[in-house]
Amino acid sequence: MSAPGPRIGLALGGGSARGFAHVLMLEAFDELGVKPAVIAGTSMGAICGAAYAAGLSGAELRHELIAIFGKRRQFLKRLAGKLGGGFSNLWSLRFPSVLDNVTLFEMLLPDAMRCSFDALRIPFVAIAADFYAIEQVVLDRGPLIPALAASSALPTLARPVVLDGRVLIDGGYVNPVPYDVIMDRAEITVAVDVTGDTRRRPGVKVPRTLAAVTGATQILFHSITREKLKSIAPDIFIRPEVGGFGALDYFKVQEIFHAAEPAKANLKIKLHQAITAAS
Amino acid sequence: MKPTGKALQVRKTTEPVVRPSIGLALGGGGARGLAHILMLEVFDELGLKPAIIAGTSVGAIFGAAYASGLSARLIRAHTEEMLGQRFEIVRQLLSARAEPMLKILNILPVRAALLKPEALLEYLLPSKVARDFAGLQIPLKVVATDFYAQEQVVVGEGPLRAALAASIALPALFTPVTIDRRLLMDGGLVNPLPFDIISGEVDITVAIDVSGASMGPGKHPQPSAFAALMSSSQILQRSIVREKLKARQPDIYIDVEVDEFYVLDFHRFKRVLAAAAPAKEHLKRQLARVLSSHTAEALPAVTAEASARPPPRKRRLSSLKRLTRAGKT
Repeated sequence: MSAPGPRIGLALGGGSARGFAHVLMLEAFDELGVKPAVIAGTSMGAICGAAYAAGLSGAELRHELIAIFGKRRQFLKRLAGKLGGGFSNLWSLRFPSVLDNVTLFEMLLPDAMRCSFDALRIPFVAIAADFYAIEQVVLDRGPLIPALAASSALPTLARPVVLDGRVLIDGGYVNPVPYDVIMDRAEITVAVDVTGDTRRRPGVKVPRTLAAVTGATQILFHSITREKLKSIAPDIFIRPEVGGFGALDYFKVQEIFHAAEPAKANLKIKLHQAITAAS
Repeated sequence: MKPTGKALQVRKTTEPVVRPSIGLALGGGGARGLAHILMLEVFDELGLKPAIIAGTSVGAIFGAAYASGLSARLIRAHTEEMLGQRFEIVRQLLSARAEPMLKILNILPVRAALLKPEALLEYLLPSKVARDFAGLQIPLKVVATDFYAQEQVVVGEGPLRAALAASIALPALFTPVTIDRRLLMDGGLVNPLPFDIISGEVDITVAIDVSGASMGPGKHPQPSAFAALMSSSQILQRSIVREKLKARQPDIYIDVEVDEFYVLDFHRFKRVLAAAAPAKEHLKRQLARVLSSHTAEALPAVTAEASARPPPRKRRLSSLKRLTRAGKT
C-alpha cells in the first residue's frame, strides 16, 4: 500500500539512555497517522527505529522499555542471573570483551525484532563504525540483532561486533545522527539528536572522572553533528531536552520520557506543517 | 586562497615580491602530534614564517614553542631529550597514566587523582617558551573545550601555560583547567583541526591533521577493551575533522600518516617521526607550489614556466577526497 503525501525519512541518533526520548518521537508519528518511508538509526536510535520498523507502535515500545528498565532491581536480578557472575565482571577492561551486546539483545529485545532486515515493515538501516577503517558502515541486510548490537557497541561498555570480517563499534563514532544517509530516499527528512546538553549549565565544578569521560564523549558526538550541520541539514531537526541525563541513566526511563514531551509536541507541529506545505 | 582585504592593501602599496601570509593550524592527536615538529622544520627550511598559528592540544604546545621563537631543530632536540633516556621519569609518568585509567573505568567511584597539566608543562616546556601570549613572536590561538557549555573556547591572550594546559587536558588523564570561570578541557573534543579560526586572517591556510588515518577495512584482530578505549576518542576526532572538511577546506591539507600509534605512544618518538617523513615532503612541495602560484599572481610578468604549472589545489584535493569519501560508504 503506498501512502499518500510526501515520503518522510526519519533519522534517530545515538545517545544511550538519552535515546529513550526517541519513543516519544515515534508516538508523534503514530498520533499524526504518518508512517515514515525509511528509518535510519545509530546506537539507541537504531534499537528504537528497528523496533518501530518491526511493527511495534510507539506506545508498545514505551511499555517494553518500562518493563525492562522501569524497575532496577528486577533488571539487575535478571541480568545477573543470566551472566552468572558479579556485576564487576561486566566492567573489567582486563578482558578483551566487556559486555556482549549480541547476547544481551537476544535476551532483552522483544520477539518481533528477532528477524532479518528484509522482514521489517518499514525499510530500515543501522549505522555502525568500522573500528580499523575509521569509516561508516551502513547495515541494511541480514539478521537484525547482530546489526543492532554492532550499532550500539560502545567501546569500554560493549564488545565490538564482527560482521563480514569487519570489526564494528558504535555508529555514533562516525555518524551520531544519520540523517544524511536517507536524505535521497525521502522528501522530508526528520532528524532527532539526543547528543547535546541543551541545559548548558555553566560552571567550574570539577566533575568526577567517569562523569568527565562520558561528558567528553558526549561533547565529541555533539561536535560531529555540529560540523555535519554546516554542510548538510535535515528539514526538521529535533533536540529533546535530555542532555541533563547521563549516558547510563537507563533506570531513569520514566524521567527521560517526561523530559522529551515538549520535543514531541514540537515535532508534531513541525511535521504537520511540513506535510501540509509539501502536499 | 581568498586574499584578505588587508593583504590586498599590502600588495598595492609595496613591491610585488611580497609573500602571501600563511596561517598554520596544528591539530590534536596525542603522540601522533610529535609529527608537528617535522612540519615546523619545513617552515624553517623554506625560510617561511607563519603570520599566525592555531593549535589544539599537542598542536598548541608545539605551536607555542615555535611562536616563542624556538627553531624547529631546537624543539626537536628538546623533545627528544625530554622523552629520551635522560628523562625516564617523564616516560614513566605518561605510561603510568594507563594503569590508573584502567582502574578508573574498572571501579566507578574513583576520585579525580589525576595529573595536573600545568605541572607537567612547567616541567616539559623549554624555558624559552613565553610566559604570556604577549611575549610571542608569532600570534597564537589555542583551542580548548568548555566542558559545561559543550563549546569551543579560543584563548589568544593572558598566561600561556594555563591556556596550553587547558588545551591538552584530556579527561581521565589530566585535571581540567579553569580560566575565566570556565572549566576547560582538551580542545580536540570540539575542534581537533583548528584551521577555521585563522583562515579569515591569512591568504593561505595550512592544516596539519594528526587525528590518524585508518588501517583500512579487512582482517584485524579484535581490539582489547583498552585499545578500543584509547582509539575511540581518536576515531571521534577523525569524524569531526571529516565532517568539518565537507563544509570548509584549508588551502593545504596534510594528513599525517601515523595511524599505527596510540595516543600515549610518546616514547616512540623516532618511529612517529619516521612515519611522518613523507608528510613533511608533501607539505614542502605543496607550500612551494602554492607560494609560486601566489607570487605569480602578484607579479605583473608571469613566466611561461609558472603559468604552465597545474593549479596547486589538485594534489591536495586528492587526499581530501579520500578522507571525505570514506564517510560516504
